[in-house]
Amino acid sequence: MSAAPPPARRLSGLRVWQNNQAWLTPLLLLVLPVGLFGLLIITPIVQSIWISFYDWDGTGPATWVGLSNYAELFSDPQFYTSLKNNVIWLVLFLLAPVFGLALALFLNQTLPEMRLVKSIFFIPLVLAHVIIGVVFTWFYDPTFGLLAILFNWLGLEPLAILSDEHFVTFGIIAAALWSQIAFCLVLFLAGLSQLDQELIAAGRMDGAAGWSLLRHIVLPQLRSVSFVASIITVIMSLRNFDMIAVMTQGGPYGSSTVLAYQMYDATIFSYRAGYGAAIATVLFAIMSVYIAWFLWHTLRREARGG
Amino acid sequence: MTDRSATTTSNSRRCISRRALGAAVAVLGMAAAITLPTGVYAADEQTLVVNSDRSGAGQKAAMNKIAADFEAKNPGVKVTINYSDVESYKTSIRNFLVTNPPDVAFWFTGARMKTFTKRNLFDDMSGFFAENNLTNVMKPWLPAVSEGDKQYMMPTNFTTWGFFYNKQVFEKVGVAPPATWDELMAAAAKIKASGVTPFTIGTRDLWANALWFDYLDMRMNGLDFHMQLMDGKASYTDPRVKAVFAKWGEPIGKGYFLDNASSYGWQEAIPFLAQGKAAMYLLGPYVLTSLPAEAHGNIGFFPFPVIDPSVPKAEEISVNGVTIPSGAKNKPLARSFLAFLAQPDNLKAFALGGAVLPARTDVDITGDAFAQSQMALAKNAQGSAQFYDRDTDPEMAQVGMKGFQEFLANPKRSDTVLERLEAARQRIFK
Repeated sequence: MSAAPPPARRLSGLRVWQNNQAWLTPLLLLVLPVGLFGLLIITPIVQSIWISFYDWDGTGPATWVGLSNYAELFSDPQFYTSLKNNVIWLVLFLLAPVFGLALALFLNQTLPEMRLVKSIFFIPLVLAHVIIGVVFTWFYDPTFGLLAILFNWLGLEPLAILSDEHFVTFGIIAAALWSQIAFCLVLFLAGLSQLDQELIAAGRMDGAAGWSLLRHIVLPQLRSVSFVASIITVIMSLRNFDMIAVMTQGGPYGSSTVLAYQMYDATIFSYRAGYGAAIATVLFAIMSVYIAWFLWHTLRREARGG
Repeated sequence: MTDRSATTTSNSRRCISRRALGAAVAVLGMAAAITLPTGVYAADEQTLVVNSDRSGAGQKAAMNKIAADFEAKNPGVKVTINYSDVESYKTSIRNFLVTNPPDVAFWFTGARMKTFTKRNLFDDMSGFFAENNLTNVMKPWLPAVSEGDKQYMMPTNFTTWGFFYNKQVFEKVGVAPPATWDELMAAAAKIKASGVTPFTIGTRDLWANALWFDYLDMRMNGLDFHMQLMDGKASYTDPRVKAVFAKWGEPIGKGYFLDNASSYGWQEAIPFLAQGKAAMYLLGPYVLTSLPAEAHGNIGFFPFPVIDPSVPKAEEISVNGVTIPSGAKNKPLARSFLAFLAQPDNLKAFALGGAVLPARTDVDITGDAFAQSQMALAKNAQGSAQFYDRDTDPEMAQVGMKGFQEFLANPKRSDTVLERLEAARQRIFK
C-alpha cells in the first residue's frame, strides 16, 4: 500500500476509499470492459497465434513444430490462390462505396414515393448472406438458372459461372456486392441527411451546381462517412466466408477459396487446427493494417476535436 | 420424445456471429468453430440424448418409432434425438464429442471411426456383442468397427454403390445394363448420340466423384493395391494410378459426363437422371431416397462393370454404425438402447427406411427386391473397400477429392493433379 494513511489517524475503509478515489474509480469502472475485452478478444488472438506453432488436429495432443506451418503455408499454391482472390475481393469490393454513394444521391429526394423505393433498395441488407448465396446459386445454375435462360434467349451457350475457375470468384463477388452496396447506401443516406443546408445554399448562390456542387460542397462533408464505408467494406471483403461456403465450398478445386475459407477447410475438413491457425494469423496480420489505419485516422480526428 | 435440429442451427449461428465480431473475426471465428457446443441438454438422468445424421424422412420416421417404443418399454426414460443433415454433422461431430457428448452418436466406421478412437472419444464396446448375442449375426461387419481386437461401434447398416440408371432412357436408346467396361462405353456412346447425357454427377461437395476413382482402381489394379494407396503406402504417380486416370479420361474426353458438374451438389445432379436428361449416376441408394416413391419404378441398378476379368471383383461397401461417446452421461441406458435398436425388426425398419441394408445376417428382407439385389452384390463381392474418404486419411481425402474434381473438369491436367496428390501423400503419411 503506497498510499497508506499516517499511523496517527485511525485506519478506516472509508478513509482509504476517500484518499484513493481518484484512481480507484476509473480502475473499478474499467475492470469489466477491459476484462471482457481481454477474455473475448485478446485471449483468442493470442491462443490462435500460439496454436499456429503446433501440429494439432483439434482434439488430440499437440506437437510443437515451430514455424513449419508457416513454411508450409508459404510454399502452398492454394495459399497464393487464396491471397490472389482476397486481393480481387478487396479491389472489387471498393466499388460498393462508389455505387452506394451514387444510389444514395439518386434516392436522396423528398418525394413521398421515395420511402418505398428506398426500402426496396434496403432489402439486400436485411437478407442473411447465406440466403443471398443460395439465391445467386440458383440464378447462376447453368441449366435451370435465370442467367442460363437469358443466355439461351440471346442464342448463346450458357456460362457456368460457378464451375469456371476464372469467373467463379467474380460471380461470388457480384452476389456479395449486391448486399454490400445496400450497406454503403444506408451509410451515405444517413450522411446526406446530415448535410449543412446553409453551406449548399451558399454554394448555389456562388454559382455551384451539378458536378462542382457535389465535388466541392457535398463530398467534403461526407468525408468521414466515406471513410467508414470504405474501411468497413475492406474488412468485410477480407473476412468473407459465408457466401463462398454456400455457393462453391471454395471450388471448383479451390479456385474460389479465400484465406478465411481455406482456414475453415484446413481446420474442419482436414483436421489441421495448427495449420488453420497459421492461416488465421496471416489473415489477422493483413487485417491489422486496415484496423491500424482506421484507429490512427479516428484518433487523429479525435485529437483535432472531431 | 422430441427432436431438435441443434447442429443445423449452430451452423447458421456461426455465420451470424461471424458478422458481428468485426475486426478480430478471423481469429474469433476459429475459436467459435472449435468450441461451439451443439445444443443444450437437460440434466435429467432419465434423458437419453441421441445425435444422428440419419435425417432422411424414412430413417427419421423409423428412428422416431424405435425411440417411442423404447420409451414405452422403459417408463421414466425420455429419448431426445438431435437430427442434423449429413454434411453439417460431419463438421460438428468433433465439437460435440469433446464439449458436449451425447449418450449415443451415429457415425461412419473404418478410418473415420479410428480418427476418434485414437483420441479415446469412443467407448470400448467389446463386451457388448457377446452380452447381447450379436457376435454371430454381426460378424461380417465387426472388422469395420474394430481397432486391434476391440470394438468401438455397433454396425447398423451398410451401403452398396453402383450405377443407377433411367430405365426409359435405356429402353428408348436400346441398350441393356452393361457388364463390362467396353459395353458401358458403347452404351454411353449410343446414349450420347441420342442427345442424352450418359453420366450425371455433382461434384460441388466432392465425394460422389471419388466413387469413379475407387472403382476404376479396384477393377484395374485390384483391392490390395487400392488399399496400399489408401494407407499411403503406394504412390499417386505410380504407373498403375496413371492408368486409372487414363481410363477415366476416356469418358471424360468424349463428353459423357454432365457439363459443369462442380456447379451441382451430389443431390442436385439427381433430377437430371429422374427427368431422363441423363442416363446413369454412379452413386448409392441415396438416389432412391432423394426421389419420390412413384419415381422409383423407373430407376434400375447395375454394379460397376468388369474391366480386367483377371482382377477379383471387389465392391465398395460402406458400413455405418452407432457408438457411445466416452463422455456419455448414461452409458448403461445407452447400451440398452443400442441393444434394443439391434433387434432384427428395429434394425430392419431403420435400414430399409433409408434404402440401405441392415447389418445383421438374420434379417429377412425377402419382401424388398432392391434390398435383395444389394445383399446379393455384397455377398458375391470378393473383398471390399469402404469409400475413398473413409479409407484414407481425412486430409488426404480432401486433397484427393479436390484433385478428382479438377481432373473431371480438365482431364488434360492429369499429371499435375497426380503430382499434387503425391506431394500431399508424402507430407501426410510421413
